[in-house]
Amino acid sequence: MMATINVAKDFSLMPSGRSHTDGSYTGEHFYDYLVRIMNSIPEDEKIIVNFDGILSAGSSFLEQSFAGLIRKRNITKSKFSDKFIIEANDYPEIREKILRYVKEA
Amino acid sequence: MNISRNSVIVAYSISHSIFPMKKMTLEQKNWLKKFNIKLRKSHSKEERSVRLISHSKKRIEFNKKLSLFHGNERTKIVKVLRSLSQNTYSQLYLDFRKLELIEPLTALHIVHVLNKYKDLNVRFKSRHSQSIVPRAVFTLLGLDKVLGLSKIRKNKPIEIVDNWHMFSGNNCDLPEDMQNHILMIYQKFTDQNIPFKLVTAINEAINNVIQHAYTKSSNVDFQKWYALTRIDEKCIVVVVSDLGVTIPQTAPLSILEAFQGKANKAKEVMLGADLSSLKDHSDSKLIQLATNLDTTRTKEKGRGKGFNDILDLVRRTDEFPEIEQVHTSVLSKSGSYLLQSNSDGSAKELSLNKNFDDFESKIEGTVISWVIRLV
Repeated sequence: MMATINVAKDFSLMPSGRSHTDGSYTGEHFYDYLVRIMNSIPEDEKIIVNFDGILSAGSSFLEQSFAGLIRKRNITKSKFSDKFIIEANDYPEIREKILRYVKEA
Repeated sequence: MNISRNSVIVAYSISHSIFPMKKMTLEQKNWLKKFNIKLRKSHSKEERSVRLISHSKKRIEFNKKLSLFHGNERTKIVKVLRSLSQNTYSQLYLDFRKLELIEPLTALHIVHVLNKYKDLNVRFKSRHSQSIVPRAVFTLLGLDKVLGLSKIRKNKPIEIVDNWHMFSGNNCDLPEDMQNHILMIYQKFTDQNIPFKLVTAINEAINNVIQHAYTKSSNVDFQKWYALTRIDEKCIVVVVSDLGVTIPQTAPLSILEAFQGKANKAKEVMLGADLSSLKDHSDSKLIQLATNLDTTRTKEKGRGKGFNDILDLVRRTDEFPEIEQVHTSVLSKSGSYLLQSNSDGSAKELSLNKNFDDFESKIEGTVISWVIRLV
């Protein structure tokens, strides 16, 4: 079993910003969303995060949401890749950035 | 000779009362003629002095192009905008007669500053441009009233002006009309990576404004960003403006944070100078250093990835055959930093003045623009 998040459809076409106060679809909002999904599925179930169709993805948004999971100890760096499958067929650099931010967190 | 306006009527009446019925002689006619000429001259002098009083204002004459990129014009613009905070705007008379072009980055900065002071109900005294384009731009950007200019009625569409769109906000949520506009940008390209990078850059620039430009002590009512787009067949221009803390103000701290823990020698090699000399750097040099850092003034871990996004498109122009050239400009305080890259992979990094020297005049806040020339 796998849970799938389609960022463009389920969250926002143009996620942007870092903190809750920055806007409505920020990194912290997406972090909250990811944590909710994590908590709602069995521990061994993977989560696919699909970025296809989005119109922008700033570094601040990506860093806060994914590196935030490491900083706030929702998941360890080593387990991140076991839990999350990042799909970004339109813009593969999104996946590269997320993995880098997780590594640097 | 002290002659009032009414004297003309009196003189005319006298001439008729002295010579009520008789036909005037040539001598009398000549006398009356001379008298009336004298009167007219004295009146025109009187009117001239009235005009001079209104022109006791300091006249600022703008040249062909309104641009913050050119020293002389920039000084004039900064002087006009500074008169708002100094409450001396009523002493100025703005002469736009020669103006033919308004550069988008400059237009947005002017709109932003004028809107900041809109509660003052400022009305400049100005003379309109003789050219239709700047007049249309002033009308489009809503500057007519504050500049004391008459609105133009566009009878025919002027493409160069109809393609200008302005947006503003006070958080990272883009207004709906701007989102629709972004979809238009997407339609301009076959390779969707280009608009993706551009829109990400715009979003990240706005995000930087929201997170870093305005301090806690800034006026909450005016923690705003403004954006302007101009899209035509061969060129896309996007500008983002803020009036917050400038990059040169925060750069020294950002640079120090970025080099924390690094050996002094490494710092010197990367900076081209030792850290203690940072305060001696020009604003332009500080912008250049700051744009190449991976940190910001907030000190929090993970922050400061934004400038990479902002410059990403200009750093990778050669990867996109649809683009001929990308030009990114950053103006902040007295500094300027430009990064230009071409489809052949050539690129240059420069400031508007030689050797990263600064302008004499300081602008309020920061303006960033992307100019993308299409093949």
